[in-house]
Amino acid sequence: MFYAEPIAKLIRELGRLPGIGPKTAQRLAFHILKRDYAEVVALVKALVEAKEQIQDCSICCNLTDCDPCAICSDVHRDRSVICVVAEPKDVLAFERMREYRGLYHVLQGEISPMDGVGPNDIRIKELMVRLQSAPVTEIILATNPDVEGEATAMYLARLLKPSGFKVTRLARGVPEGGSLEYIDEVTLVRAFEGRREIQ
Amino acid sequence: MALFRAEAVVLRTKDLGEADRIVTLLTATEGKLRAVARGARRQRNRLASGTQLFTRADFLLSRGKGLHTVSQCQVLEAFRPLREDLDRLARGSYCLELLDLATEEQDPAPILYPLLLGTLHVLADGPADEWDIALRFFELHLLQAAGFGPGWDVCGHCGGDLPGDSFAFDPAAGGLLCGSCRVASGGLRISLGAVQTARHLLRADLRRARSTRMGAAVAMELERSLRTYITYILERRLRSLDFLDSLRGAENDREVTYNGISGED
Repeated sequence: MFYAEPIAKLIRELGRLPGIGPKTAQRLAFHILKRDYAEVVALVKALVEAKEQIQDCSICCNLTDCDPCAICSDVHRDRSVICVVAEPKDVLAFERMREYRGLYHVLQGEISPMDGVGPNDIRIKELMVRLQSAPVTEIILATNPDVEGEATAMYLARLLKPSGFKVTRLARGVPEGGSLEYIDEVTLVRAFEGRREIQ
Repeated sequence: MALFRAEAVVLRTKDLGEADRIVTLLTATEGKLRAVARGARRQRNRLASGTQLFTRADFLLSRGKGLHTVSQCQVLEAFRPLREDLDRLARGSYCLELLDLATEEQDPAPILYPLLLGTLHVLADGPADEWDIALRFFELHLLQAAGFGPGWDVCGHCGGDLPGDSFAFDPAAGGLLCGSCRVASGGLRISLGAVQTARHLLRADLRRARSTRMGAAVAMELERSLRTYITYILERRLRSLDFLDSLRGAENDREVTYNGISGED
């Protein structure tokens, strides 16, 4: 080992993070060593606090520091609509939009048959339990527009439609500011199928 | 860097880093290979739609030592019905997973590409009563092309003929057992009807095979035998089978415990 054990250990731990290779881990480790002691303590504290305080919301399964989460306990939100998303970061994307005032349900994953992720491995059961008592009329399926996201949306639609919910799926097509010349064929077909009359 | 073109179907995808994707492709001419598609997970990336599962596309790849790089791709066929119908998707996923596990990289087997395409077409566009026969056709021909197809014509244990209609199917013996070896070695019971269907599917092309009709008992028996055989050969149970079975309603009797391999990897 070329480094003193504490440095080697730090590099090893940082290298376990996703997207961090050995070189990046090494750079980060030396960056941390150069920082003030107080800054390093603040980083460690932030890591530990996040791990200790963050839990799943017992209603929507989003990550939160208080249960129920801020969105589920907000009395001004529309409780008749639930937007189903795959990951907590998708909730953030919708909130940035500032158009949606309903509630969420975070599945914490998507069905992926080839990876062995089935319906029981994501938070579908929690959604079904929640729907038994909630006054919901519409469920928006906002999983990703890829094979896994489609599979998840189809599975949920199959479960939810017989119960009389209005089940909707996000539209797909040409992105805002995009150029038709560079849109791939599959997206263009979707956009073409989903064309709307100009009001 | 040397560029080459290849028509291929995407067998598997794996996320890499922030926005990249590693795709496993079955090409028409070079067999199975892996390539990295840089930026393919970004919304507006031109590789995004061509590197989705099931997609058949014309790829322009730059050759690497182990991992190639996708330079361009043009979608030829998206197999949308497979993505938009759960039952079709579950069966299609099984085909991709089986082919991926049963083949090695850069080991061209020209029969595999048309076999996969033909099967995916039946699953995407064919009626539901043709799906299972197409899967059995796919399994039998894939196993044969990969070099470990079960034998259906002579006893796998003693090499003798198979008189009568009392057979057993023994994955360790590589196929059928005659009546006397069956008594000695065991194996799974299999009816003459299931054996004849397997022989017919091996001789037929897909167009003839898809018009074959199997009774429910024969279909179940053939599926169970091949599934047990595949689990034995690959030494693992395919993950996509769990999802397929959950859609069909917990039909756990389609596979039996064999030589201690019950299916879990």
